[in-house]
Amino acid sequence: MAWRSVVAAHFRRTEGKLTLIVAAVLAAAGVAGLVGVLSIGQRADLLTDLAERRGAVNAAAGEIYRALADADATSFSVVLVSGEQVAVQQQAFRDDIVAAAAALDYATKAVPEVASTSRINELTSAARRAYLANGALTTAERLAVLSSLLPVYTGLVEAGWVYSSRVDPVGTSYLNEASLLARETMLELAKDLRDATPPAGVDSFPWFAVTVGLAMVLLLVMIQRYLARRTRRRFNVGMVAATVLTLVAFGWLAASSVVAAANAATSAELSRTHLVPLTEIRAEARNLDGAQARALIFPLVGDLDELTTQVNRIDGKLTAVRATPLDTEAQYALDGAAVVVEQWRAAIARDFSATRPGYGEIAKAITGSEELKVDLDHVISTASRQVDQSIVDARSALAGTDVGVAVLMAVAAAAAVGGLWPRIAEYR
Amino acid sequence: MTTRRGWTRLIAVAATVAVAACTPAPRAEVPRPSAPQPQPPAVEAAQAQPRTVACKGSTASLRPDGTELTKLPRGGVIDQIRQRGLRVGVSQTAGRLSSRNLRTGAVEGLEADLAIEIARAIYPDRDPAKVPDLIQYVAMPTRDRFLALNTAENGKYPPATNVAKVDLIIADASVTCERVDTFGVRFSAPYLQTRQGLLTYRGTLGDWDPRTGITGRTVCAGAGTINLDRITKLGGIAVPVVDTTDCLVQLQRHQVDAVSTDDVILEGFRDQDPNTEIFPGVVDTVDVAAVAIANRDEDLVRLVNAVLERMRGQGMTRLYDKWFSGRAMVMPPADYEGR
Repeated sequence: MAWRSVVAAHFRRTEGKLTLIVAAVLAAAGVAGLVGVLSIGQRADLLTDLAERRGAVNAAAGEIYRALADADATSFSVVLVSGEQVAVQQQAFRDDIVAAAAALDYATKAVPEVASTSRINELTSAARRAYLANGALTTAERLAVLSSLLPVYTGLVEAGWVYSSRVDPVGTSYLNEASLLARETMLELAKDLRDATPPAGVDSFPWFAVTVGLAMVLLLVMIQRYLARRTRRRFNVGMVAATVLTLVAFGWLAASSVVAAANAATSAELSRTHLVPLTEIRAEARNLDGAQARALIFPLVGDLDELTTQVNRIDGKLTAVRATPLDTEAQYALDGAAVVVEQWRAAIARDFSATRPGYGEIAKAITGSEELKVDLDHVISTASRQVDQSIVDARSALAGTDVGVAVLMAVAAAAAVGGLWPRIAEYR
Repeated sequence: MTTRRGWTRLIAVAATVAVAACTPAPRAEVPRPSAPQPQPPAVEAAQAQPRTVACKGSTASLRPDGTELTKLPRGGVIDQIRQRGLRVGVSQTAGRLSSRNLRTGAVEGLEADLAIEIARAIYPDRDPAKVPDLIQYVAMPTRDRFLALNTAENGKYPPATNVAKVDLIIADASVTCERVDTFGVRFSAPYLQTRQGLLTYRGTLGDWDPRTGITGRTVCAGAGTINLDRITKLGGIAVPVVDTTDCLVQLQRHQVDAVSTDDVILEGFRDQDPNTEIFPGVVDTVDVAAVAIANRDEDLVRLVNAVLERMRGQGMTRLYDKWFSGRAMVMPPADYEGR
């Protein structure tokens, strides 16, 4: 029991208290440094994931969505054109299918999970099909389902073409079913494959790390006040240096996190206001091309209403994008797109009215132009690049911060020990 | 030797253990999913409800008085059609009856020829060769056919309000009293006699002979048709589709065991797929198909009947031979009101 009282007596003396303080400062610096490094590391990991894995899936999703929408429109165009154009359009369709397959392959490389056979079969079963488009699926499941639907879709379209070329009416049924599969299931799955919402923690302020940093500063200040009372020296250079270094370390951490968060938020905002709606507009324009062709091939009751609704929807989305801040080039391209939409509306009203032109003339008009494709492709690729660049910027804002914080906290600890050691020595 | 072998074995075991320890979890199996089945457009709309009360309407038609073709009725629906063109609802996917050549846009078949005959009677003053251009064909998926007629009864159905209206429906529409009551249809004199048949593969897998019945078999037919009800009555599992031709797709993709509809339509299916065979006589009843017209357009009903009566005999036989050569067909007798 004697050693206990010896230890207690030692720590009651100033020398002992100062030793305790050194230990506390070392521990606090260690903890603060660790928290800082982990905070930066976690954010950096999320951003790396966003840039690489999700970035890859998002880029592929855009391409799958585009390719399928184009393929859907072309599947109908093939039966409306004649001569060499048939082969040209068929090739365009096959190119889009291969592009969609390549994009699926590209995305799959970024997603390590594998959906099991039974799960894929369950998802694509007839009973589940109606809910497939709205269901909560993992990215791996989405990719697997799209991969298994793609060859079925292609088979339906090719069968539809062969029957139609033999003037067998069942060809129309095949093309209709194929289009239904593309529009109601595959395009919806591809649309939701894109996930641009930043994961929690990427765009927030690092409250915990900064609080820990401030606590560390507070601890250092309190120690200095204690020292000032005990040693009658107003400043301890080592402790002042440690305080300043801690402030610099956590100031840097906060600043780089804020810059990274701002960049991540910009990326998400750009994606939400520009990239996603523009991609949708472009795909819906292709859907409308397909719907026009279908309405000509297989005119149904209520076609004009349906087509006009689709134009209005495209118009509404385009107006919303044009209302957001845009660079000159994009503004110019989208103004052009707005004019195309107006002309389109007029063409639909003409081609599907009671006083419509002849079949051949309408077929030519429908297959002659792919509206909004040229206008939008460039704007979409620019927006896509900007979205990616913002994530890269966010990631580079954090570059070196973790190492910097660790080194600064180590130096701060050393400075504190350096400042306290002569005071302890004085009592020996 | 023994010691050396012992050491080798020990090293081998140690290596195996080391490799096993370093090997990550076993990789997921390569999935082998089966091909998803495509689905036809979903059947979800209003159709004639099974009736609990006796049918009130009449399937009898209006007798033409013989003047329609020499002196066009004025001031009514005929005048409107002459101004805006004739709108005809056709199936468009029924080979031999009405199907569209997608490259030219021309609708071809017995029903298309019938529409041209009617149009020529409405436009006697136009060049007969140009009359087909005055017809605007609208595709009528089997299910929604009768909603396209502008009738008071159809006004009660919400989907019918935004439906483009047609003047005539010539789409192998069987004459039934339910349709008269539900949709406000007035049928013309019948132009076609049909029997419900069964179409399935030329050679089923041995466990089923289609001649022995359809009990427990999935059989496809157009939604809202009488064929569908009869399949259920015969013990089959009825699979409704929006358009009857979707049935052929379903059969070809092995999603149903058979298709059951009017024999004339089945012949069109068999033309398109020689791997199928028709089994007639599934149902004893004989159906007749007629042009469906809104009951308020009485002038048009009379005019169509006048055209049909003029064609009875030679004109109709020529059409039957053109589209169904080798098949014995007779135009069914007309049933007119006020006999």
